Amino acid sequence: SPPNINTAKLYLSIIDDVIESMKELFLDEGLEDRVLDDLRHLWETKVMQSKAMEDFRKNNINSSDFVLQLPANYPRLVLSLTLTNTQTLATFSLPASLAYPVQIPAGVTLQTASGQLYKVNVPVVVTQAPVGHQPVSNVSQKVPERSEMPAPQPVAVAQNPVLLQEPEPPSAAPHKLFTIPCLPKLDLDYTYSQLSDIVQLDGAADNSDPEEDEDLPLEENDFLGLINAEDPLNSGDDVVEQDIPDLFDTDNVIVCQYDKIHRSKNRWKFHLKDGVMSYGGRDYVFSKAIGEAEW
Amino acid sequence: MAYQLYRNTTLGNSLQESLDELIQITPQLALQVLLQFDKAINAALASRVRNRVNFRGSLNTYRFCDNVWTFVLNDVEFREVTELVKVDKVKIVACDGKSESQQNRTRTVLVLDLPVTTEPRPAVG
Repeated sequence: SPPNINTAKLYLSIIDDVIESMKELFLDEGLEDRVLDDLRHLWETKVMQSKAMEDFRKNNINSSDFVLQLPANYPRLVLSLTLTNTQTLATFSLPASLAYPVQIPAGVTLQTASGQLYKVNVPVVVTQAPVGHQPVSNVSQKVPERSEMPAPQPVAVAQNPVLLQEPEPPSAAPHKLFTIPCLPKLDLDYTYSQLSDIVQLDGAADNSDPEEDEDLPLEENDFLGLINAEDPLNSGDDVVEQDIPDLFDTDNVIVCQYDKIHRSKNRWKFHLKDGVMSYGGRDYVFSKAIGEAEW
Repeated sequence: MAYQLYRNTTLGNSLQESLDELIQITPQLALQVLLQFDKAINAALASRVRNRVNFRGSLNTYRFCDNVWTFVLNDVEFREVTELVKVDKVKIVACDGKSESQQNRTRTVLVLDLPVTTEPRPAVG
């Protein structure tokens, strides 16, 4: 819903401001760049995974206007999860035996074998064209071999022609506006080589046909990892206690400033501003709030 | 001087947690980050947020101390354009919104520290 989108955008802008303004001080303290990056990463993750942003995450994943179509027999699509333009958290390889289509949440960068990057601001569905099928463009349709032959490029087919930039849609569907991390629970210190040692976990590759694998230059341990196409966000995300808001215990609090407080007999009028309200765990902000109450 | 009251919000609490978790950040440096957060959120709320909300409910308790109002309201309806949120109970903590220079000029004479069950005092504007 609109208030939640603005809240998310506002929060991220505040995080940006604070991190940027701390760069010099952190440098003076002799800290590596990584420390401030870690702070940003931790902070953003906590905020975006908090109950406050739950509505936003749910709205973000429901539909996808973007389809990334891979040519048939495309060898490998690598996903890297990024928080900002500069921070790569982890990379996963989608096995070629994966059962398409795969739904990828927003905030993911797709990288082809040749290194072409598609930064995705919105949820995207990755499909694969059937063997022999021409993709919707003039890209040559060669099946890649292990030699130097360049792999055919995936084709981005989208209702909105702009995939790589942050679009300015006239009628904004909420999930198009941001690069937001919608992360499943991850151990964020994995490197690819460590990941390749991990046995394949739940994913959309359940229907893989082993015979098709032999034709493709797979690494032994290709896996989908923690990106579960059916439930990319919510599995294991929330601590159990937070799943059911207990409104008796919830402290619904507004922190704000007052322009004017007025009373006449037992009728009170409140003129408030610049407020942050937490209700049932969800966050709302306001510029002005005008209220009345009887005591 | 930016109010510290926004530290007890999702954004503020998650920042404090993050600062705690990073051992390379000393308490003194963490304080600097929080002070910067205070500035940033005060400024952002004043300039980047533009919506108006109306609300109505019943006032359960009120308190005015050190220029801070604290209210507890029951059965409150918050309305923003077409959106309606109903809340059984909400606590409002509000600091003086007047700028510091204005505060110095219009010095408040009455310092009210009201016990919550007292007969209401004259309005404070």
